[in-house]
Amino acid sequence: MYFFVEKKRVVVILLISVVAVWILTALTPPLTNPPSTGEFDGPDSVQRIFKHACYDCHSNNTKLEWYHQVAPLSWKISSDVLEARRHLNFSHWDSLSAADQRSKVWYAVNMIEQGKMPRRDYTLLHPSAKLSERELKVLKNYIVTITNVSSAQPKKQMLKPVVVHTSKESPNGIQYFSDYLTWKVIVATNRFDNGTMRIIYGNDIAVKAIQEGNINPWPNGAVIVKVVWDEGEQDEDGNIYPGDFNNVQFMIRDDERFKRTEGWGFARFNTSQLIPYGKDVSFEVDCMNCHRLASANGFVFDIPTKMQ
Amino acid sequence: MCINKISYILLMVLLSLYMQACDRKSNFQVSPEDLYESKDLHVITTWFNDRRQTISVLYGNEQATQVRETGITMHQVGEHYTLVTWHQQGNPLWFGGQISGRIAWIEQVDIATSASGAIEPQYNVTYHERADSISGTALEQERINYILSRKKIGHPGV
Repeated sequence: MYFFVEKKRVVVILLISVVAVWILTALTPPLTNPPSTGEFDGPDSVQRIFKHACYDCHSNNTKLEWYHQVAPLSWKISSDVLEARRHLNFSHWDSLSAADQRSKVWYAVNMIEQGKMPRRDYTLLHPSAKLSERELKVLKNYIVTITNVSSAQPKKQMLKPVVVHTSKESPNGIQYFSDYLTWKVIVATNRFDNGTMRIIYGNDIAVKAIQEGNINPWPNGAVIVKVVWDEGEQDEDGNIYPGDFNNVQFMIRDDERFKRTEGWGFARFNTSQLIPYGKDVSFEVDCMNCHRLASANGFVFDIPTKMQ
Repeated sequence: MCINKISYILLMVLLSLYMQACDRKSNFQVSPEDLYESKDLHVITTWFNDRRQTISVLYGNEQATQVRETGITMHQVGEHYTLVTWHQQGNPLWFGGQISGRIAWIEQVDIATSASGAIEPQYNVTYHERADSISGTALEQERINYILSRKKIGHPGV
């Protein structure tokens, strides 16, 4: 008798659960695939790689299995796909400028190389989405090629110092300052993906953190400043000198003030006029999303490192 | 059947959360020995060379920095220049980026007075592969001329 009562109770609970899941699923707006306005138009070999590794989330051609449409899993998938499309949508490729297209592809390839994309929870169910070393090489060759073509133009040499007109403030309240001119150089860098060269300065707290390997997390008060110039003239020995001043970027460590961006406050001032970057404070989230690639270095890309 | 489906979905949610917690282990470490202790020197300019795979930063003391800024060609006793050259390496966190690695050599030029009272640049190079090959040669004068002809880079606000 007891056995039958228990069995009945289990069946009732199961029925209620199934009905609940069915109602939740029915009430959840389905994830749709809006029409494409203009697909990514790279070489076939590159398109094939993006299609099998990225398109399920980063395009309007998302292929859903039956279980993807069952709540509560459907909520997570829907939210992930919509967020992915906001970052990069290969179905609206035509809405991006040529520079933005290059920048998006560089970022995508770096996400793949760092093992951040495709996401592991996705490749677990879609193992064919994993990229082979050969496929990654195809993508790297492609981005280097498109970058070399776009940068094949005469380079300028800047001789006049830039001038600041007034004090400048980023949307998050960080003001431009020039104290870093007396700080130590942490590293010097250059990037062939965008034709710039940089000097990265650190204040005493940042330098001490590097010296002690204390960068995960960096201590409060650490400040890192990156000064960026366009690549300028090249001499006959192959030395490439700075051209026009491009921008200056600040990273300020304060884990209370900048809680939502992992404790880092970002600011960037463009051109010799030092025009603050970002229409509103949300620009910080974009900065942080990119800097997540450098999570191993406490979210800082440019510090001295060596292979283990 | 229903139990199987629900178990499957729950399993996927748990696995998804677990996999997001994982991160790729980095194969590099911080190398503070590659920082250059510039003390009171200021940056004059920087350049890089893809053929030699090097990145350089030229520093100067206050006097040298002012001279480089104004473009004065006559040098004054007391000017000091330090040119630090690092090996260039790929940035492990960004394909497309190159970054200074190990310090390759350090060259210094001091504007001093010779025994006869004339103004004379004195050259010194330390560290690694070029330490013994430049001093006292024609190349030494070439390096002095090269270092002293660099112009100051434009920084915002300067």
